[in-house]
Amino acid sequence: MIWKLLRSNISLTQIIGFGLANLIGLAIVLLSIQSYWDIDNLFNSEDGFLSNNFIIVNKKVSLLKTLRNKRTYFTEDEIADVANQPFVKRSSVFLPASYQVKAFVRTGKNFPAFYTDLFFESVPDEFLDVQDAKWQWEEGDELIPVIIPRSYLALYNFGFAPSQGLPQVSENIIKQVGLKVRIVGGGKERIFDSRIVGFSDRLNTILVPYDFMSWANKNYGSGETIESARMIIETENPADPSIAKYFTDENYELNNDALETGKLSYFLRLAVFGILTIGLIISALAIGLLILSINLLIEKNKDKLKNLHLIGYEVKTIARPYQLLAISLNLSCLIIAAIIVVIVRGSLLEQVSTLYPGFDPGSSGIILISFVIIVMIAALNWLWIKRRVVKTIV
Amino acid sequence: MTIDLKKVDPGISPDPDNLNSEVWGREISFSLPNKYLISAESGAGKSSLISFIYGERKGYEGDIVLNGLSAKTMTDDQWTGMRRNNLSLVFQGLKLFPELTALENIQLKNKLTDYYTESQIAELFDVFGLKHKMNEPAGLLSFGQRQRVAIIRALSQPFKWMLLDEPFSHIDEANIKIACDLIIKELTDRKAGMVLTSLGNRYSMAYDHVYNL
Repeated sequence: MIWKLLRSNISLTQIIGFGLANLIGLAIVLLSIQSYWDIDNLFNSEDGFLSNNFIIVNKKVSLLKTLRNKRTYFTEDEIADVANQPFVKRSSVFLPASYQVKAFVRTGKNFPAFYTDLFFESVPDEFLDVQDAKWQWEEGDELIPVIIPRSYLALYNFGFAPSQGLPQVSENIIKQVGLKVRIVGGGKERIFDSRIVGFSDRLNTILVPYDFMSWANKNYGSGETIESARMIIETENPADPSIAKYFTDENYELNNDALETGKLSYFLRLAVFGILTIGLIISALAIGLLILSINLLIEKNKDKLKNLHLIGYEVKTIARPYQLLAISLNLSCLIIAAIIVVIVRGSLLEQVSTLYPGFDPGSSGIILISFVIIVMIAALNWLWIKRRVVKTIV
Repeated sequence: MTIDLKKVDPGISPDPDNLNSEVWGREISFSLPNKYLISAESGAGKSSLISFIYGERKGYEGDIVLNGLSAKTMTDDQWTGMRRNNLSLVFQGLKLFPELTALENIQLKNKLTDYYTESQIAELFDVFGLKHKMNEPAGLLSFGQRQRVAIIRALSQPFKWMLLDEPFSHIDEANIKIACDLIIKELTDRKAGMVLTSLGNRYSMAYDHVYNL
């Protein structure tokens, strides 16, 4: 009966106007928050497609250094300084071999026999982008697993092999080829079996397990201090401008892939953030419109509200129809907006997965966000209308 | 429950002809179950006095003490409780809701305390000869009919004091008699008191005290 009294003077036009505006605003807000999560996942998850938080650093090779045969090693202090930078999550030097390495294939039935000088480097396993059960070595093992850069294989297949009339090989074929490796140093030498177990996109060097490298350096090394010319750094946020600044100041060189990806993700996030802001503004304006409408409604029904209060109705009872009106309007807008977002996101994800098969989207937190938003809006409406009614009739 | 007026003054510039008010600026105590008549000409502030007691208006000097509570410091919730259970008022302006039917106007009040049953309400309409108007919007009734609906509404709640602000101005003699008899009976049954304002007409009721405002 109170509702029958209070519903008069409700303007349908205002309510529809509010509904549309709020719907658009909320849909934009929800969609941008969801996109932010999805993009975040694209760039930042452990094996996300575009996640690349590794930076490889070396000192610049200059003419002067070449002429003086001066190496570009990192000193202990420099290594410690890099490790202590705030943007560095963890870092390690490339451990070089202090012995000589020769690789050869003795019999060449399907594969040409060759003999070549080689080099090995090593980094701790956590910096590797290749996971393979064979990637391990213990003292006594005769087989050294090796990882080469994927680009080396491409060089061979598309550059070297055609020009020399040699067969092209696939990754699987080359993994089958057994190599002999002779390591020479400290007046000793030893021959190991070796096999390529993986291809790295991240590390542009020939890698052997860290354990093998440590053991070999100890037993076959020249005995000199082992110095490293390259470092690998893992960072939380490659887009952090302080990274580029630090390395420029130190006059170090870095591979820029990570930084470029970082910039890309930074701009994407910036764009999403901008859209989110617009959505928030639209929503805020819509809610402002609703508040004004209800304000007007309360003002128009002022005498009725006062009379209800005078015959013994509590303020909270009188305010409730308006509170419920506002909250149910907001709730319906939010539900429709959430449905729209789920549908739009579904079709967007479909396109993304065509580009990146197997892309694992971020969790769909729409329901959680919606819940948080509705609780906030409801609380705001509830308190505001109550206050307004109290101001009007008491 | 007593109603104590403690030097209540409406604060408006005093009418030079009306400096001898028996109410304004005096200490008066209304006690149960007495019936009081406040008699005055138009403009002396009858409605102001009633609205001060009912807590509708607060801009006056002095204080009114209801059941030991100062009208000036009572919270809004305390006022609501007072209006539901202790004070009943027939407003001069009636304050019915024109878009609701006569019956709905009564139900709106009655459901706060469920004082009457539906059949008792219908009976009251019958007593006032308004049974056929029960389901008409209050806005379509004549002022006299509405006054009677307002009296029914004022009865549809528990109370210690019934306040009537010129309640019978548009009702014919026969219906005034019906209304007065009914009100007296209700007051006796409920051991309640009454404060009635009028332009001077005593409506053939017996009062315990008459004040000239």
